[in-house]
Amino acid sequence: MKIGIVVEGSYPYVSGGVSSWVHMLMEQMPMHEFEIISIMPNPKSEADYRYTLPKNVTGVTTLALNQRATRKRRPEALSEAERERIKTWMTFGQVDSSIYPILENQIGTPEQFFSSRLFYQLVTESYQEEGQAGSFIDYFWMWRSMYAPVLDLLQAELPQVDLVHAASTGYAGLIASAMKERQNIPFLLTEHGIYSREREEELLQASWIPAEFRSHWIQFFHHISREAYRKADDVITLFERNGELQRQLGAPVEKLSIIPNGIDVTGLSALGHVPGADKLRIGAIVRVVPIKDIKTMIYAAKLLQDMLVPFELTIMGPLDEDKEYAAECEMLIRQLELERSVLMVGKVDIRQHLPEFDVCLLTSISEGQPLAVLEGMAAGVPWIVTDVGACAELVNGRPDEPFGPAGFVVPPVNPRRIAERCVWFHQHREDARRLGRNGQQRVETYYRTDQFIDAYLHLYEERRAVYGGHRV
Amino acid sequence: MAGIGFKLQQLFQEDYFSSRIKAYAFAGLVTSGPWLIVIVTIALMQWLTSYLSIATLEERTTFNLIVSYSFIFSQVVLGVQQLVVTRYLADCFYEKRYEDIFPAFIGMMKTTVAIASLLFAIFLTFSELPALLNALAFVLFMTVNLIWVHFLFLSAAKFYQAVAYSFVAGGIVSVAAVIITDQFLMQYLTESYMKSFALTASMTLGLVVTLFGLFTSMLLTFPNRSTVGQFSFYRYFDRYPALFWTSFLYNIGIWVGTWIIWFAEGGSVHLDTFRYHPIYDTAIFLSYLTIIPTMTIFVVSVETRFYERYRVFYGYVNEGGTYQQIQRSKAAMLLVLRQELQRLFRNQGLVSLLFILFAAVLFPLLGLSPEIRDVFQMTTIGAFSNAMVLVLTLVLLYFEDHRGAAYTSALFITMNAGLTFLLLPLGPDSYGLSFAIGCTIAFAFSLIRLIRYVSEIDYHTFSRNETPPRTDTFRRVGDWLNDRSA
Repeated sequence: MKIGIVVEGSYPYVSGGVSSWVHMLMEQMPMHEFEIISIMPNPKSEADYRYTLPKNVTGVTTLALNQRATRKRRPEALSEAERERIKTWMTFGQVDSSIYPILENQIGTPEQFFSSRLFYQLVTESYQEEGQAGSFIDYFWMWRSMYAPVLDLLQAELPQVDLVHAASTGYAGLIASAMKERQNIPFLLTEHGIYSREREEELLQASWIPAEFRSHWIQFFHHISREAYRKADDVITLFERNGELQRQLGAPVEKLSIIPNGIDVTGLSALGHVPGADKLRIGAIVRVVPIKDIKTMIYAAKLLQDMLVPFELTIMGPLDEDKEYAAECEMLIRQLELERSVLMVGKVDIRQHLPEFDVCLLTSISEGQPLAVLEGMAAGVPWIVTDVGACAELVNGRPDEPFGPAGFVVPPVNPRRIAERCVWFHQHREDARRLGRNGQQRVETYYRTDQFIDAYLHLYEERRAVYGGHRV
Repeated sequence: MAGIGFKLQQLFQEDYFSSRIKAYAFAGLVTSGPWLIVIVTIALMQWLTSYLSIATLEERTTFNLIVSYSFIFSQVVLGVQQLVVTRYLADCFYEKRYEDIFPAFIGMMKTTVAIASLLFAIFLTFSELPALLNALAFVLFMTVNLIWVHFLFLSAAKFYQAVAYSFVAGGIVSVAAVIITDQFLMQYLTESYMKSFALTASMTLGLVVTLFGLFTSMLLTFPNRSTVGQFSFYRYFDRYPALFWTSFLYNIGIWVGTWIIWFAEGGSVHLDTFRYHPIYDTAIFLSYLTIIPTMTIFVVSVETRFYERYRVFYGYVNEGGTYQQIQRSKAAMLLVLRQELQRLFRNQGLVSLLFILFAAVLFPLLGLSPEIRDVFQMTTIGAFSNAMVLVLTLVLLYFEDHRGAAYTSALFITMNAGLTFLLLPLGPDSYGLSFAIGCTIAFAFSLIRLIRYVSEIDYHTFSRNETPPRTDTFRRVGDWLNDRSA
């Protein structure tokens, strides 16, 4: 089967969670071929690859958002119903029949469409309906810049595949929806983070965009995400909390499912545990960046020190991704006189360190489904995690499973609660080992690579069968 | 996480509608100016020589025809580059690329000389004039051609004073020289053709004085005289082909009916060289004199009342006015435009009507025949419509409706040529009818086009599509010529 993977701002040009996921998915499915459709803000070339592509990748189509479609199209006369449909869709409404063929073939090039009376009418009408009282030319250009990438993408040449799988909603979801319709193929959507929420947060912080335009952009991203949810055959995410968010954002509940990320547990589960002395050995497997909130971790260490608990905190992860933040953290460690108990060791092989930890710590203020927690659990180390993303689900387990908790969940940015939980671990060594074993069992049962691969393989076959077998 | 977010592309930095507000404000002068000068000069010379000369009619006719041909065909040559260069200059001024202006001046002169030489070469293939007269005709033709180039550049630089002084000085010299030649020299000129030669040379002398004055003004206006990139303006033929067609077709369209009638019944051949039609030519020159009021009123009204509103409208469009402000200023602008056009229509209509009505009284007084009067009454209707076509074309260009302007010119030339052909069988009595109908159709078309276009002017302004040029030919020719002249 030939599978089209649609990613946005990610594989193979940017490394990160989604990229690793895509890479693993393809590597583990040598029986299928993959076409990568990578949407990037700017044109890219093979020299920019951050990954060595697996052999079963048959092609990479890179679509730059600021790149004009080259294909020439003549605008066709649109019927009143079609004009109405474009209007409804562009003002974030739902349309019954499909909008994609119209936007792909009938409206001419994006440039022609933006010069059309229809578009001008659309902009002036919504300006008035919204009671706008700001610069009209800016409003007009906001509309143009909102839909220019959409039309460019929809009119781009795309490969023929048997099934399309998007790694996010947004522009990737849009492309996948269009491909589904054009080629009559199944469309799977796996959302790692919740795209429209992420854009919303970004936009709310973008003070350079006038407030009256900001809500427009937010609505726009919600709109295209909702459209992807509607179009997808399956809306998959990694953990339940995100599934709930998708449902709230308009994903039909019957399409929702959860396929968690998996890890290779062999090796990890055999690592064992090296018992220590009285000192509590705490591990943190994190990149030193603000979103991981290393400072809260350091403040918690300070509290532990004040409580006269003997401990050692080892922070393992690259220091060079945000050098300024790393320097701030080092400064904080010195200021709080923690140099001897808090160590920032940089990027190291965690397999050598995991057996020596009594507990692992994650203080992020935002997460998806962190692989570090899975790896720690696989090695039998109990966790203290903040209540973000999938952390609670990983540590406490899903409601219907038999294994007990693998540690504690604390609110984000709360050094006192973290310190209290560390004290517990210091005082309850045997119970701690039991928590660690719970985690190990959970990972071995539910979070293995082969399970996640099997789940997708199964889904691919099942969907493909519904749409009538292989064709490409 | 994945997601490239979004960009407000170019939203707050660029001036999207670099509306060249004044770009065509002088195009009116540049377009109507040479035309009126042509008409007035020819009429004046005919009147002057017929009133004063002791030269024979034949010799006076030779003189008049050399002058007329030079002026008419130089206008056609000008039409090739007129609006394209005008636009190029407007952009140079707008973008403050003053150093590019003088090279373009040199380039346009060279191009003009090349085209004019080509036309003259064609003329030589059938000219039966003696060599001396041919040489003089060449000098005169080139002088007039170069005057238009200077005229265009100095108008663009708004150096109207220099233009006026140069024309007045040259005019005085011309008239004085013609009179002096006529009065004192004629009796000594016995050789054949020498009288026509002397008259033409006097006229040429005046024009050379004008050219000299204009050239001096050019040198004064542009102290930085680079010659790099003389043919860079050629790329504007790729970018704005509609502008080329507008001025090229319009300038031919003015005369195409006349040319056809030269070959029709009543047409003559002078010295086996010059085709002309004594009755029709006189009638149409006189008719063109009747529309001088239009040109004056138009330039004044555009520069004052209309321009104010025009600027407010584009100000709101460009500088972030609300939709309501844009709509209100659009309404105000269109109201003034309508008032000014109505006024123009009324005033010129009245003038034309009076001329038509009183032609019966005036013509005998001027010593003109009833045949001329009959044609004149029809060509005056045509001239009225022709003036309106010109005005409306310019207004279309103000609003950047290049296509509308080009369509108008295309219709103008097609109608004039086609109808003149079609109506030839009706005989000399109906000469002028085709001109009247043809111009009026073009007038009606341009009026409808303008009304439809400006009623949606906000849409057109926001949706202007600066597509990349479809051709690349002229830019490459220009680059090649630039390299050769470097």
